[in-house]
Amino acid sequence: MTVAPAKPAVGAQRAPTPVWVRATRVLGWLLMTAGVVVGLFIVYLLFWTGRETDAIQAEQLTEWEAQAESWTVDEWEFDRAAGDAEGIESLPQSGPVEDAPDPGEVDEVIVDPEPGSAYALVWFERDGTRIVNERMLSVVEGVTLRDLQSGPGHYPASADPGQAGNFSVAGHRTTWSAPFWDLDTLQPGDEIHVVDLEGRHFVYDFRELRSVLPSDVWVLDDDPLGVGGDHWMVMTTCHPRFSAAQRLVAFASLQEVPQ
Amino acid sequence: MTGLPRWLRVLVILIAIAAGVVVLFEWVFPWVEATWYNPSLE
Repeated sequence: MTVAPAKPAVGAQRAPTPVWVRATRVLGWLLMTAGVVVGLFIVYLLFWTGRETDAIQAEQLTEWEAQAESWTVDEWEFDRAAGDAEGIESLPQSGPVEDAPDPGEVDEVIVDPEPGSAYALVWFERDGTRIVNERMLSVVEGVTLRDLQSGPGHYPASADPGQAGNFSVAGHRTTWSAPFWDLDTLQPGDEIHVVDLEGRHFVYDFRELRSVLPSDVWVLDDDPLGVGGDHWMVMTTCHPRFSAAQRLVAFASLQEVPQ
Repeated sequence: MTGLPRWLRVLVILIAIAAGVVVLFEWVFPWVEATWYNPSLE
């Protein structure tokens, strides 16, 4: 049989709480609050930011759908719900679509996109199967913090798709929908498909991956690997995942150089 | 708040927490992220 402790008599005064007990209590609350804030920050980075990017990407894919209607490619069927473009295989590769300007004659994108607006469509394939990202990616113009919140961004000073030089694209490895989360899974021979604002379809062959320092801006040079060739595509992203200590760089070259 | 009914105190606390989360997600966290941004080679 247990005996319940006696209740203090009515009117009896409780002993004052020692200062160190109160200080410990306050410290405990502060630490718990800090832990909750840090936890919320992780939720913000890993989940909340992705919601915003997904919404912008969906909006831009709608723009691409409307844009595709002005192209003269009959087989273009844009399945926005799947974030896919059925019939994309029928698009001519590295060459002009019907009645579209020849990339060899027009060496730059005629439509000058505003920073943060849709610039190109990009997707990755290996033996006809989508890799790296299941969805097509709407690349925006610019690589500022705000631009990359919309999706992968085109370095404004770099070449346009299919143009001589280095067509360079940056994208988040983690956070903001992580478009380049699996960029390290690319293997030599994989295809990188690019459609510009005029509907021209280019295919780049992936060459190799390198991890470099964030200050190694030489990767954006016209001939970054110094092996010749003047139609490069370079994609940069943070490396390793959840760290900005290095940059992962994917080098690719145009499959067919426009004549 | 000791004079308030219990349900009203709980409501005030929940509203304060919700407002705090909104402030964190809309202003504080984006600001923290911007301070980390390294524009040299994204």
